[in-house]
Amino acid sequence: MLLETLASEAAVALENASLFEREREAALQIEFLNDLMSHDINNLNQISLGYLELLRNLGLTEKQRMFAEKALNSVKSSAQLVENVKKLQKLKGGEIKLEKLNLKDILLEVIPEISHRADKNVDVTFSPHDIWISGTPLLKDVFFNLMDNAIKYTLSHDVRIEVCVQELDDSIRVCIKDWGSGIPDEMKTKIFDRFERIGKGVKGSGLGLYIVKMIVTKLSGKIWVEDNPEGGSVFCVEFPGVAK
Amino acid sequence: MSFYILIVDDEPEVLELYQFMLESDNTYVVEYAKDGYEAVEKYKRMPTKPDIVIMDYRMPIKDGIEATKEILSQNLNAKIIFASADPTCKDLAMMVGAKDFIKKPFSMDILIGDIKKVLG
Repeated sequence: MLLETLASEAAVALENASLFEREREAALQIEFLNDLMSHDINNLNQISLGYLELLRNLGLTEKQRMFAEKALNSVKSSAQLVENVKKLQKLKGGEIKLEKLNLKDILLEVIPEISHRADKNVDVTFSPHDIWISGTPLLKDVFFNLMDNAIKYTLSHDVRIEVCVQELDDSIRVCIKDWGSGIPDEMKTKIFDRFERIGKGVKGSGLGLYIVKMIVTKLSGKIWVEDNPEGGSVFCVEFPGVAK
Repeated sequence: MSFYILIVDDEPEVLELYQFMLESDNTYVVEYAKDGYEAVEKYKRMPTKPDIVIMDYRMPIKDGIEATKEILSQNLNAKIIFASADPTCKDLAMMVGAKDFIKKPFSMDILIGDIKKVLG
């Protein structure tokens, strides 16, 4: 009887080991394919983007130029999608390595990048001061996505964004306020789900806020959206602070 | 005044594109190599060394990191800009002596702006 029990337990253990091995191999295979695919797609995106830019500079008619611009935007979206899929894989793959980072530096890196746009006039208000957090360079994606969303959902040419950083007792809160089209109440929690988009007229994969939430969650933080009383939205993220 | 650029990439379409991008500016004269090995050999034989080398990372025979190390061992003042679709090589590229890293896909303005920045 004892031998039978031991044999049965050994069989289960072997089966589990084999399943674990197969799962590990599948994960490695996915990582390899994702890496290969993103590298090769971005090389192809480079060729399309480059030739479309050269074409755009050839003195086209207004209509031809509009077509070239649309194709260019599509290539840029494709590159963004590849990036998002890579980030998702990284986030799902395991724990994030935490490091002591200055939030001011991250925001000062994102703001010029997001403000420099040909299609809109973006004005970002931010009063920089040193705030240390236990984070990851992926925080840049959090703030980039939130500000990019504020721009996408402000329909007018002039976009106003206010970045407010608050040091609370044991946490740091960053709020990004816009004066855009706002988020309906029924969408306020759903927008952080995969493939959800606030409005159908805005392009995107629906992965941006999902990735933002995953990063924030990995950092033991929280994210929510409120109404801006003057019209628009306020996206807030809160992270544990670190000793100064 | 024109600048001399050596482009290294294993993708012929990308090489041709860089050539069009840079020559549209009338400021650059372009030479190219289709892998790291060819780049190192070509660099060795060039009587006038290029002002800038644009280097891909993943290439057959010899990758961009190895080629960068070998070019820098020939000429410590060589200015190499990495241009790759694989951002994971950025830190290594900078560590072995690249002056900058640009991630594919990038626009023409980024490439030309970066070349100007590195040329000082």
